Amino acid sequence: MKVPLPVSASPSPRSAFPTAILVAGVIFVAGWPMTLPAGTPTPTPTPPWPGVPVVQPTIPPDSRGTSQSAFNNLAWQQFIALNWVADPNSPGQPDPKVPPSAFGTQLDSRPLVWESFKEASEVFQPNATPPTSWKAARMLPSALSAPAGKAKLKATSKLGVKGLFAVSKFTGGPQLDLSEFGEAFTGGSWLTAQARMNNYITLYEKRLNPDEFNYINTNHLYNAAVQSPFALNPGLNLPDGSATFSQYGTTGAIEIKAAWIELDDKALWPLFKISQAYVSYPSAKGPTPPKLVTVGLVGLHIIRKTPNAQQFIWSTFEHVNNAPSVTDIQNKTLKAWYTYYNPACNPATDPYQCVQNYQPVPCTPSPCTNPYGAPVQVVRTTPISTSTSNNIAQLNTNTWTTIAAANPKSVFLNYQLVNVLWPNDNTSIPAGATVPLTDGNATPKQSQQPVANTVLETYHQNLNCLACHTFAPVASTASTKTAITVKAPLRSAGVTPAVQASPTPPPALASDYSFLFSEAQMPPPSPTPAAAKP
Amino acid sequence: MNWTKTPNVAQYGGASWKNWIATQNFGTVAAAQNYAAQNPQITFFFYARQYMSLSNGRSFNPGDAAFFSGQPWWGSAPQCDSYQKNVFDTPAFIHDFPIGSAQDMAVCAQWNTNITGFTQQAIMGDPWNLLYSSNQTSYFDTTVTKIPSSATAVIITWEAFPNRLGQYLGAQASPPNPYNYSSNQVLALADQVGFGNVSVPAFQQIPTVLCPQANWKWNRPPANPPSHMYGPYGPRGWQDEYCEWSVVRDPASKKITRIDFTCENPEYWNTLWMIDPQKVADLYSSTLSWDAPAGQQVKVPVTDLYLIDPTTKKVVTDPSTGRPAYNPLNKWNSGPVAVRGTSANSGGAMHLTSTPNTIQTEMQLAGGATVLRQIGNSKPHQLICCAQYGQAYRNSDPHIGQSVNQVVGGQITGSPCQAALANPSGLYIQVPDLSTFQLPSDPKLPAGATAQDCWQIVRGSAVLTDPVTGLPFGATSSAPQTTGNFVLHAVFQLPSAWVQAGVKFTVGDIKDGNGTPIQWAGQVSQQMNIGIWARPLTVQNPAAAQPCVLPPSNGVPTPPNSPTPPNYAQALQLFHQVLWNALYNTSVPNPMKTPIPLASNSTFIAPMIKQGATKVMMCLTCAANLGPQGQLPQVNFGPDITVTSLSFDPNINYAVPGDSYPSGCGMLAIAVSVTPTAAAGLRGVILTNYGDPVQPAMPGLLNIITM
Repeated sequence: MKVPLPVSASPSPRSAFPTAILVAGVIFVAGWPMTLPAGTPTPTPTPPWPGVPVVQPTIPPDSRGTSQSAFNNLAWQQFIALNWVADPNSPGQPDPKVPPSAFGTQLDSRPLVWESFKEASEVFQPNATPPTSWKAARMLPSALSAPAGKAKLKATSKLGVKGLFAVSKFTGGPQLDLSEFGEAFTGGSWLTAQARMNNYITLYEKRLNPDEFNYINTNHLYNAAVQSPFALNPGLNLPDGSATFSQYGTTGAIEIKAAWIELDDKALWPLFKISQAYVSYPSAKGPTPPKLVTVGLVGLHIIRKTPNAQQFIWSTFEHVNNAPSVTDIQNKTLKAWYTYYNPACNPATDPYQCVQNYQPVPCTPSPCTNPYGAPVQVVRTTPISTSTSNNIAQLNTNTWTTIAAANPKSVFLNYQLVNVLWPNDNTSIPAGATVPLTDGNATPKQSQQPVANTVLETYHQNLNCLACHTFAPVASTASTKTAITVKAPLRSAGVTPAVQASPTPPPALASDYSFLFSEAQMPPPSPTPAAAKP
Repeated sequence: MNWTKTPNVAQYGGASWKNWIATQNFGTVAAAQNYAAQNPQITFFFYARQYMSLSNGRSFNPGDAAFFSGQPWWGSAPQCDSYQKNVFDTPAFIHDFPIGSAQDMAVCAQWNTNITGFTQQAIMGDPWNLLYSSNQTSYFDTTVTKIPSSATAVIITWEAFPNRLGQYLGAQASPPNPYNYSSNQVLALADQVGFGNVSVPAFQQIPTVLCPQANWKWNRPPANPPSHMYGPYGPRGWQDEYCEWSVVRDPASKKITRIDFTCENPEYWNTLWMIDPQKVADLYSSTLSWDAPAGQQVKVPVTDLYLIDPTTKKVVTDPSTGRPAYNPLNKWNSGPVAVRGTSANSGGAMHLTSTPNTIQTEMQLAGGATVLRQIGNSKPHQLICCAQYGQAYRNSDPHIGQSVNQVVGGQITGSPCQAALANPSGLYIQVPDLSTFQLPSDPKLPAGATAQDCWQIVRGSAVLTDPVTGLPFGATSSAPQTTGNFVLHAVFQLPSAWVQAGVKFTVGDIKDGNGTPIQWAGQVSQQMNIGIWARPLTVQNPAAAQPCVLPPSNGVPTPPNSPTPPNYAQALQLFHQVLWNALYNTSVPNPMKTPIPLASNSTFIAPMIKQGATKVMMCLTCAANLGPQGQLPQVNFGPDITVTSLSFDPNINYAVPGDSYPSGCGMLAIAVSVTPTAAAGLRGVILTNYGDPVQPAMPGLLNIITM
């Protein structure tokens, strides 16, 4: 499809950036490092981030204080900055030619800043192969390699290939796979949309930013053999953007998990952030060959480590038409349509009798009892908070007003912050720490407000991210990928894994709350691989 | 007197003008201010610069000043400016007597005196026994320092359910404890009521070394470092997040029928008592009976609230007032269990009783937290270990301290600041979001009924206007919604209208967000936050960061080459002798089976002595020593007051209000005489060990009143 150009002339790239600091020839601007030619004038400082969302590609260095509202505001600002159109020549950076008035331009499928991050499987590769350099073209996720076969896939953008996949059955054994091909802790369940979306299955991707990539690459942590000794000394401690970690960047580690739905209906495209991507779906015959389609963003997790949040900031966003809340249903304040909820669902004809958040069972053994095409009647069990202490609904409204002032037709007017989890007892993790790590008195507490996304945690909306991520271990050093034991948090939360985990060994070394590290593999019996060239 | 000017506003013409006092013409604003200063009933006035006519028929000529009591309701008026007296107002601007009445003015005046003293104490810190913990001038007096209208108040909130219960006794804590109580056991412990197959577990020994983190090694041989019984001690001392509750249950089914939540500080209720004990009893009755069925209501006799001397068995007369003294742990404000509908009703939650749950403590904490530390402020536990304010592992103290420190450091407002508790100083319940709670179906329920309807504000307000900004507290022109509430007392019960309509279920049938029936109050308090309001005030230059307080926290080694901390006499609290005797000799039982003296539930309200009084017998608790020949420490209250030290008891043990645990100190018996011409007002006390140099006075311990 044609990508429309931004609707207005480009402003000075400098005006979009906050105060800059010159360090050894590199200018760090609110987390975005840019190397400027000699003699280039220092960019004009702009006012510091005011603490509320502004339409600028600015990631503030940290929250303005340690309150729910401070982290909520930071979450929205991060969302805006990370959803800026990426610089096609500098992956991970915002395109300085894109003005605020082009934030969320309808039908613009160019990759966003976070879409230009490295996909997790590009970093953690088979046989502990070092990742390609940060600037190298983005590759098809490894999960799509097999379905793709030898087919040559055209780049979906100047940055490379974008590929999305849905969870498929996990065959072959007693492992609980936590590599998050799909929804977390479902043991292979999937999420099928309603008929308006042609009952497509939800697609996922995971990405990480330059700071985290630099940390992993520099320290060879893509290699499972390296992780355990590194966790013991000096300690696996992802960068938080502070001076201590300045060699990796000034933003702090960011991980992204996104959920997408294929959009056949072009009338829906102006309502979504859309992208071009190769997609593969599960089927009775195995994953389908990748096909190039238009997809719409339905959910986005952004987690980030900062000095105020050693246990990370866990923010999650959704498309407003994903699903109603229990109170929306109770109060009959439903929208005209939902991607994952059918207001006219008929129990007599619905495959799941309209049971809310019915978790389909993986097709093992076949034949499938829950067809891939059967839609799930998704409901948000914890409504968007309106309490004075955590008035996310109001913040969403305020931020939409701010976005609309820049671009009244921005597609991001259709996205809402769901909630933010942050550590009230922000605590450093010492070297040698084992799972479970402290949750840092994660706030809001699970008993008060579970933080969950209806398309990323559809079936476990009573959980908080840290209930599970405190158990994230370093990679196994066995020659093949082994099970990850997370039985304790799941059981305490009343969740029964769909596939049983292996017997629990002594506490594993912790991976600083990131399950991505467990995707690392052992190298073949050969010399230690070298780091990628910068 | 200091005033806050709000330009271009006047009392709204559509407001009630019942609090209007007078209108007079003055040549200048200063003349009007001078007039207002003479009348304690006047709290604000507007001054007309040009002719103005209001919709209520009133008109004002240039130079006219209209004077009012109470709180203003501003309306836009380009012809006028308005002026408010800078005083410390009562929590949530509450007026339990008719606004402008003599009793109301007396309460307001006494409250202003209280907070004035507490503010001085917060700024003073501890120069007597600690290094880097005094002269905390980044905390400011909001009645003295001019505050611009741009200084929006900042709410600091935390969860109301005690975090330390789970931290020290619950499963999956970090660092782990050996007890591993289930979440239901922790809830039962907090209510002291078992339910179903969950019985009330015991409180246990917990570590005393909390820095750099809780050290549980005592639990393994050798038993070092030491442990102590879980505290704070007291009938509901474990409810230590500045929110306490009591629960009424149906005697047959044990289902909850009502929960009272309070965050009201004990100082306010002691102040009310000083003015009118009967009013306190009446408020107990009306609050604990609020919207309750007739059979569940209580009538509290004032005599139930009297302090009884355990030795003489007689009612203690408070020399400050000449009236019976107040027992803060009376039968209607003690423990988490309330009994209703019987001939032996008891229990209730009217104000905070856990020993650290006081407003003076909160101000001390805030004062200590304004000192920037060289270790930074991103990690609250590290900071509380360094700065030694409050209690570690609470939801509240570490978070409050860090937040205040980040206000001062500029991380919150974007520029360095001074900070203080915003007026009106208080602790405030935040309205919870109970949208995940589910009511049972009942045909008698009104349309649209939700569990939120059962959470009702009894005292305080959801929204208040900030006199500084003219907007709801926390709001700005770009985000005009309030960011926090001012609730003082809330109940969770079925609205009486539902009961009258025939609704059959009760609180215990309502389900929480997990679909579990509400068996314990903690299921509700886990949904609630408590808050305080801080007032940031931008300063040109940030204060210099200090090293950590010396001597260091228990468990932390002294940094090499550290200076020696001071070691001087420290005055703690002052009492009239009869009150001290009754309070100290009254032992308070508790579920920890570690009784402590009722003196632990006293306050820092300065005892009063009239001008001209002679040889008033008082007790000064202190950290002090006798001289080598038994010389008594010397006491100095300043000019026109003579003090004779009589005796010294070095073996006192109680929790000085604000402390979570009792500790040892001394008590100096003194006789105080005041000349008839001594200046009225608060006095500090200089306490000096024999042979030591004179040190700064502990502010606000004695209040000289006019004859």
